[in-house]
Amino acid sequence: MSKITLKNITHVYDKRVKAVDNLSMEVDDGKLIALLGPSGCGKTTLMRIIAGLIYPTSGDVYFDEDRFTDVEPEKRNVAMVFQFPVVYATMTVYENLAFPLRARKFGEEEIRRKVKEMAEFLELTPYLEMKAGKQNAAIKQMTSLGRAIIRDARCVLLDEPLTNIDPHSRLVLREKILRYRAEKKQTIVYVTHDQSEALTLGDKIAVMNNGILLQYDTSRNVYEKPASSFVAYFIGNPGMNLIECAFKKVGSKIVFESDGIKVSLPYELAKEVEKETSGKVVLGIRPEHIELSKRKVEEGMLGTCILFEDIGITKILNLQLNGTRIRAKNPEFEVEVGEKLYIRFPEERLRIFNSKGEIIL
Amino acid sequence: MAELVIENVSKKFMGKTVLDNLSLTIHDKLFTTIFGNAGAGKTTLLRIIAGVEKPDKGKIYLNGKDITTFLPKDRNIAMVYQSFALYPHMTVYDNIANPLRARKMTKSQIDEKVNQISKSLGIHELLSRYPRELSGGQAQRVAIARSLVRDADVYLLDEPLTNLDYKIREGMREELKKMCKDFSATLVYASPDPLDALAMADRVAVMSDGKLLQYGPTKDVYYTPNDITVATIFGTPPINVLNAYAKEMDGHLYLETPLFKADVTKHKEKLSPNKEYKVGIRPHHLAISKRKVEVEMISFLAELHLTHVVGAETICYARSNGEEITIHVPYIYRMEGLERVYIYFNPEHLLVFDKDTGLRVT
Repeated sequence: MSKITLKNITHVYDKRVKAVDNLSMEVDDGKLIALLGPSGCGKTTLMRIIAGLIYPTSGDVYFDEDRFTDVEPEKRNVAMVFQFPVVYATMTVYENLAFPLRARKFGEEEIRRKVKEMAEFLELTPYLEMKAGKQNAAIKQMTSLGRAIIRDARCVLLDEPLTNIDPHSRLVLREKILRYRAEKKQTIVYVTHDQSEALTLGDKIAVMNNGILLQYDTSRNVYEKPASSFVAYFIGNPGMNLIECAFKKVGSKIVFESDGIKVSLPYELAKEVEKETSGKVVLGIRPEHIELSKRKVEEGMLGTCILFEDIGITKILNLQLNGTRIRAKNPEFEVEVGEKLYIRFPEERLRIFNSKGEIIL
Repeated sequence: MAELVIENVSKKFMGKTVLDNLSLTIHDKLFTTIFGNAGAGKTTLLRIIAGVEKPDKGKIYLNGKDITTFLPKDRNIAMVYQSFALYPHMTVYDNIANPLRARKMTKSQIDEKVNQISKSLGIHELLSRYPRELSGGQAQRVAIARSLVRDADVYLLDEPLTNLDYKIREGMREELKKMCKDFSATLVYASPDPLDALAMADRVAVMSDGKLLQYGPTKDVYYTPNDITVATIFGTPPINVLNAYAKEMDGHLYLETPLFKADVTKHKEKLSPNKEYKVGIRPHHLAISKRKVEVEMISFLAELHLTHVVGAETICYARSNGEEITIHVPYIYRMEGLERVYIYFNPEHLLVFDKDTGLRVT
């Protein structure tokens, strides 16, 4: 179990597509970190670089204090589980689990004990004598996970392990991963595009886009204090509304305005924005923080509901305020499409980003 | 104008019934979701509508015309598959433009169409790339664009969002719904994800084992399911189901479950005393509190043992009197170790089913 350090990793495919861009980060020993980002953001490439399956264009990989960049993948002692379950189809589940132990010349007695233990933990006991290839995706993935963690690896890399299995098994596997981590204190890097997996599992979350590490922080902070407008949009379902606004000082306030939107913040609180020379900033507000009313309210902006989704747990509204379209979320609010509403952004919930997308407030 | 009638369609593969005497009318300009788990027969139904599969029995009518024996190319029905293929030697632009070129449109018409669709699907910046330079999710969106770019009477989409990132799926749901309205398109969308139907569909058809279980406006199917099967499969996380026993006391009728007792006197006509039922309550109709709240609601004590934060919501798992209960709350809740909590709900939200037939009683 090791600390993983990545130093200035860059990887370019075909000399034209930059998958990872000068990325540095540390994963502390025994922590589970989630590598989160949209498809194409470079997260799988980064993981393969840690495993040694891809040699980075530049930069270095360290396990604890040792440089491993040039070490062959099979000598890194890194365990991996992929999105599509990989099992030895013609072998039994038992033999699949025993495989890494046999390769490491464990005695039969110890193999039997370890496999039995692992099978019980992953609820695979009833399948031990069956052919792995004949099982459903969830059992296969459970078997791949078992094979990866049955030996003491330096670290475990999981690449979207839950994406291709049914929703129920997904919850079971998720709980197994959490329990395994709690008991073994193993270093785990968990790649996912699914924020709920990242927020639930990760001690810390690394949000990536276009090969760049945008934020590396706790789940609470990536939600409440997103470092950039992309993180703000990517975390949350739907993500934060981002509205490009002009701003000016009016008396003791700074007023932010775009087509259909007008909000103000006390000057003392928002004066940082004056550093933004372009005269424009991006205003951010989470859909769940928007206040809605059918009656006129103070500072309420008028908008029309153009889409209404009742998804059970909550309702999602698409609102048109002149030229600006935003989303609001409210578990109680019932409204007809076409109906006019008063919309308020509570001051304490507003976030402000500069024209480069970096957070100011 | 596009009205699609599926009449008594049956289909078997190697002796196994995949579609069982299924009838369904897809209405013009509506977004219809065919919902069901893997193996329900959704894909087969779509393939029969598209004409790539022949039904053993039954007919397909499009605008009153029997098209059962028409070849796929003569139907003017477009289909997007779950797994897809792009031409590897063509750019994204050419892949999307390809079906239009076959229809002899002018260069500027093609340009406009390709731009419009690629903007709404968020692939506008990828137009000059080749398929090998796309991620899986990007390639899937290109495939969707290629199918939606041409004019068709009906668009069939077979789980097109399954392989996509969550975040893209979220935006795509809105775009598809908006496109259906803006272009007045008739869309049939197969999916195993209840959220797809809830977020997008005007109508939902719930299928299981080749049979149509319920068909109607999405809200009606969700809030008033015909039976316990529809209630269970159409909703995520799944509905909580408990055994119940009806008892009469002092002129009131109660349903007793291992967790609570609910006064159901107002449904007296539909329920019989001393009879077993099953009751269902959706996870989002349950609320959690650490202290007892004095409200006109039913409450019971439970032990919270797991919380999953999903975006800005939380799915909580609790145990009480040997029962597992799921609660879905619209805020972020992180538990600190095992917690004893009160779970409460409005009895209006209870669904009661006949224990033997599974049919909904109230």
